[in-house]
Amino acid sequence: MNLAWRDVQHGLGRFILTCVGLSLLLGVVMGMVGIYRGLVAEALGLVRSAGADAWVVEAGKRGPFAESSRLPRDTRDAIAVHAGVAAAGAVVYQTVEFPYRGTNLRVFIVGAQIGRPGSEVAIEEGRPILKSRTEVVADRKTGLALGERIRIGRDDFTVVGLTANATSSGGDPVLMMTLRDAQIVQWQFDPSAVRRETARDAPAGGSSDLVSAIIVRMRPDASSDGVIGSIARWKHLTAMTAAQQEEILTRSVIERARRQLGLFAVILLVVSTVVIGLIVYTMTMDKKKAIATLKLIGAPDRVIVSLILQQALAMGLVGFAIGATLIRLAKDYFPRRVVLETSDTAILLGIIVMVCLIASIFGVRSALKIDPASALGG
Amino acid sequence: MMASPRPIVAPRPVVEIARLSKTFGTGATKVPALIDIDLTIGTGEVVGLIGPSGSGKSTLLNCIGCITEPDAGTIRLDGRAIFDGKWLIGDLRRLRLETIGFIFQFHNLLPFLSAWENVAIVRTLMGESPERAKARAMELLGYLQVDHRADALPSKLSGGEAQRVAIARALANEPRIILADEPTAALDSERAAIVIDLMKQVATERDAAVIVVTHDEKIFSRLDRMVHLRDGRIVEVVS
Repeated sequence: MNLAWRDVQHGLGRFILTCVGLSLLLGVVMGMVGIYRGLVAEALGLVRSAGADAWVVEAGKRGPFAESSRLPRDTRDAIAVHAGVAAAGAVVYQTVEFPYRGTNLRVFIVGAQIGRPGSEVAIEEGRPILKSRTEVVADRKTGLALGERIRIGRDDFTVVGLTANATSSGGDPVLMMTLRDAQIVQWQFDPSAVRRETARDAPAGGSSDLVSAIIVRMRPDASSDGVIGSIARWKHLTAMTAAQQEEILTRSVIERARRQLGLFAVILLVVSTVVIGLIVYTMTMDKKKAIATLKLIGAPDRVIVSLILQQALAMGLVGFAIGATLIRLAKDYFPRRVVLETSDTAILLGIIVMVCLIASIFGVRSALKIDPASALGG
Repeated sequence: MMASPRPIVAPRPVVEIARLSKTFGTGATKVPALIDIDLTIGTGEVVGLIGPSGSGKSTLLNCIGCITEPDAGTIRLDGRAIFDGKWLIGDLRRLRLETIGFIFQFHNLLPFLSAWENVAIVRTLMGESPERAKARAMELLGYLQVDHRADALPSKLSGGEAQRVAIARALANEPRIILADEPTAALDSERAAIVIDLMKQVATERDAAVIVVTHDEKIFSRLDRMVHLRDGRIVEVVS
């Protein structure tokens, strides 16, 4: 007969309620980890989907994601013929908001040259951009529908394709268009602004044939370091590998958010430990008379310790299972992406087991201190 | 399960106490709880420890039950000297498990176990298989005529039924000594008499010694001996 199980059965409703309460706490911990993973996935998704071997940006900059970068578009032509380069494509990145269904829709515009690196995208529904103007591919998170027409700036665009999980490091859904369209959106001034600039005898916006970065694919036999070094030396540009770009993103763009979320997760785990500890302690104190009786009739300490540990572990594991289920059911309703990785779940499970064992210490200590003589008398 | 007539034999000592003393506190708060207690209790005997509050009854019961270590004197349980410096807490607990049965004022059944499980747990703790432990528990519940309530939780048992189950648990380890702390305090006269007679029957049939701490005058006449304590000393022994 398992004393822990029998005691749980005896107070099943209370045990389940405790587990549900705990599961909400553990669900938030899992959510925090999932949000962090989502942050990384969102931040790196765009970089990885570009399939770049190297990124070329404005000299002295760490763009195009960590900071702004501007290059003349024809830089691409010079890079494309550089030794060791197989293909190159110019891209423009910018965040815009435009009126949509009575509110403002915030998107991350990716302008790329059709058929060149940076323009490939995994279409879930519809087709890729074929026309050189006024077609866009939107991420599902924009809420845009296939065939829907939207107005950005002075132009109308038609949604011809839909993607999934294409977002910027800030979590804004991606709206993909041709490079030229993106440049127009970026540089096309409002008529009143044009009039003002004309009045002060300044060309409105200066040169508009600028891009954010050049995405480079190398020949299989080319040396990555050689090509990057050569571009930096001879073209007076900054070039970096895809790995370096990812590192910049993770270290600069999402580092603070990562630490913030990590700290929250640690605080919540400490809170969980305290909560489990208090619950275990209370459960132990509720059984004070039963424990004293067990000791009096000769039950060894291991029976009593095992009773407390098994209940603490059962509570932690059931709470964890409910929490994991809840967060899996709720993850798609979060405004930012939540990525629940099996490895994180396994690590968290291990941590919860440790937390339960640590939290049981006070309960076990108090149980071992219970005087068997207290079972005698009233 | 009534015993067949047995030959009359002299009681064999099960509890032998010599010059036992126990003091609580130190300095100004020093309180002598037991002073030079000498007592021998044999098999088949039901002995009552009687006295006012603070007379040392519970301390004496705790010393015999291997719970409280005396300051001086000796205690021999079933021929074995305890508290002689060779016993660890775990050993004493094992000795309790194998030698002593406890009966409490409020039965102290584990609330999350059924009646038969409350009895069987003792056998399980002794290392017996669950099946054998259950069989033994059912046998004891039958002996105490409460086997029809075997599956009931303690909260569903009447006071008398719960006390019978508690007695069954006290007998589960086939103890040489049964220590009962106010076992009839929560029972009416009729049920109190039944419980004491039951303990007497158990003591006789199973060669056990029963020590009862009680204030309950209605059971005095049913005890074999009454040991009166006052201020930690035995002041009178009435047979």
